[in-house]
Amino acid sequence: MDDPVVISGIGVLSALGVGVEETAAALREGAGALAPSERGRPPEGATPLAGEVPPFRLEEFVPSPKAYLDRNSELLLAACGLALRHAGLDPAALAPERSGILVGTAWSGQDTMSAFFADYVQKGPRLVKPFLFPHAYFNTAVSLAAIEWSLRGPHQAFASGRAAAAQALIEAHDLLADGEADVLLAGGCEALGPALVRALAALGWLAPASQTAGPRVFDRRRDGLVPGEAGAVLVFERASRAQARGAPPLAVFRGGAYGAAPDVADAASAACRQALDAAGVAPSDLALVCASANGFGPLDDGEAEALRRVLGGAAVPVCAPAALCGDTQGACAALHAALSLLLRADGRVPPVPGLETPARPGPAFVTGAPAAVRPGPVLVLAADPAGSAAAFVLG
Amino acid sequence: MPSPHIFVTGLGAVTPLGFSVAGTWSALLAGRDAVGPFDLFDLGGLACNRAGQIRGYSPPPAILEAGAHDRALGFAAGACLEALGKSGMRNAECGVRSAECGTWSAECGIVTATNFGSLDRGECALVPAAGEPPSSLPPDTCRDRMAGAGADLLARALGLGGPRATVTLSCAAGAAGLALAAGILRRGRAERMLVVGYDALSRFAWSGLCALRTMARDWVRPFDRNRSGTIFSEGAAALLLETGSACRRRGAAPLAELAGWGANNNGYHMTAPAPRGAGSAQVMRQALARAGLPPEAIDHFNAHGTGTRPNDLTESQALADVFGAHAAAIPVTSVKGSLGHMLGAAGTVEAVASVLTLRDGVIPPTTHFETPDPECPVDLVANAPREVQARCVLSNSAGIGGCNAAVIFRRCDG
Repeated sequence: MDDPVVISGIGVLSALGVGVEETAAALREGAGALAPSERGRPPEGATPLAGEVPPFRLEEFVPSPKAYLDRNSELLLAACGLALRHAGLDPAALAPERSGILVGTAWSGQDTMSAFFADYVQKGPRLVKPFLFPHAYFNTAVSLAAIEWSLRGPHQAFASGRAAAAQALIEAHDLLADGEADVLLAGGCEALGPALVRALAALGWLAPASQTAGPRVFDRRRDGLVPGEAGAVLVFERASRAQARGAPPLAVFRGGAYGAAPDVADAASAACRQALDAAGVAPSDLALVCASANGFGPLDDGEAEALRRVLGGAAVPVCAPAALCGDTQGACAALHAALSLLLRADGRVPPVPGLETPARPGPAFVTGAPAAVRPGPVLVLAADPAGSAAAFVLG
Repeated sequence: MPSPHIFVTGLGAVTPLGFSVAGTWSALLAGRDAVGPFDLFDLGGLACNRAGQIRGYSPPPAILEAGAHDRALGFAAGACLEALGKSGMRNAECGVRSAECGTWSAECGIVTATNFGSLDRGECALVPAAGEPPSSLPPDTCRDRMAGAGADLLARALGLGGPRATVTLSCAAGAAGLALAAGILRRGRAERMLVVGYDALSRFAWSGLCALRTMARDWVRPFDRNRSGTIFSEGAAALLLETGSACRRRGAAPLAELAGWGANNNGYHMTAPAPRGAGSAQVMRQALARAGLPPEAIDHFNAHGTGTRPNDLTESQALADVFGAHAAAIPVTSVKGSLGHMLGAAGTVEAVASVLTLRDGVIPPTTHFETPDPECPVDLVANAPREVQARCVLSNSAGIGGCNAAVIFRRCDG
């Protein structure tokens, strides 16, 4: 494409830090950021660890005061504010109808839903709190962000499990490529809280209580995920527009694809292959692969097998950020895209903590010591245990 | 590569007016009411006690076998199966699993559109009893709290191996789902996409919707001066979309072309519409531009028409602002007068009605209309169907959060 779609700003909050600088520093340290949970009240039998976003002041990133926001909305709004700032964009200077936002979340504001329904259960349907209900929708966070920054153009709320944010990024690319907008924010959010952690525990996805060091992503000893939270937003625009305003592109969005199949490996490999095809990139050209594996066996094994099939013998370093900052569910693809760009800029990727003996051979997992990352395209994969996936290539 | 044309080749519906497209359509044309007393659960003294409740519906075995046991996905599965079946495709082509055909079709994907997903079952896991350990929560009710789980279960039940996504743009979700699927087809990511909007009434949803204080006590009276609010319903509606080349390969006869689409946000307020429905006007213009059509090409407007004063007033204003003098020549209807407001299914059931208007040359009436409202000077198809040889129909949707979506259908010979 003569005038490709580029990423010109990153807003990111995760256990690794708030904003690009803190996050990049944490990645360089490579130690991971999982700690005993303070927000999730881990249930008995489940890992006490979580990847929680460190304290931050929302008003530093969001212009207008808010009477009520749940954690999910806070994380997204803060990420939007950070992304606009990082891109050097003055929100007041954006053309509202040509600016939009697309966001993915798997669970949305579960704590608001739980709080709203607790009144129903405990007090009766006439005593629910009306102001909570509009905050209990899956589109609450993305719509609040549109309102905050007058983003009156393309708008979409994806709730497609762990592939949700990847789909938001792919759709943002497609809309810009079609000329439907000038600037789009695209990303994901997922917030930790008791209601979500209870659900993850009931689903059998959490690592056990004995897992106090961190998840064993891709490892023979993998036994479940450690939950994390994130708000991650990328600024998308055409290269010519970024150039005209003197903003250096951080990456070109080369192409993305969906995959779906009964089996995770089939879904993930289809998404990766089609994303590489769309990008016109050969596996051996890749500088880095960012997997969404999180320590939950069926997902890890499916992704490992998919990457073995897709990469073949290409010695491309494979990282798994969930081992550093927890599994961020529907937000993972946006967070991992941001982390991948920071790792590439730094030229090195830390080893996957806890990965000593891969359960599935094949891909070049980064173990033991940091690996060099040369300049080049990055493949980001997000897969869901239910058999859907999405992948994209950042050049 | 030229962009493919996108066609509607199958329709499905499970509504309180009927468990099929034919049943729902004939009831709409007859002006029958879906709204009545609501007794799905103990209302606990809530004043809102009328709804479009589905009674006596048995979900298809395929969705039960896939592990879904909530009412919402039962409705969705029924609508999907009808749309796939009526499209005239064989099982192997459309992906429907059967004894003869256990394979998955990578050619057909699915977009689900919903407000609450499977929360009618998942709400039970939102608030654990005191001292109840998480291990006592049934895993599938926790899964039912993820709005996207429905797409996974429907894909499993129907054997759909193409792109899979869930959009949740509140009551604009159905039309926004069509917009997303159209984009997927347009970019060549798939050749067939099934789009289903669905929602079920639940304790969670009903108490919240009542708390919004937008519900009428008797009927939905869109655009009537004496309207007093909307009334919510449940159900599902599905449309199968195919590219022109996919249609040609199997000799399918399209019902209509999906010519234009768009989804946006008012950027204004979570629950109040923007002044003069500016966001709705913008998304209609976006859909017209996508279709390459001037406003004068639109022959019929299938309105969001909720029967609330803020919606009807601003939607009328948006119509006037987009279509100018031509607005007076556009017959308008809102099927919510008969059906009630089907939440995440509203956009798709109204899309189904729009396609059938093109096919049959008749607009279903807006029922319960008595008194014109000078502030909503639209040419309303009131109380009786109207014959019209429409070439292009615009269907408009809006929802909580300031979300808007619009789709335009064009007659294939238009």
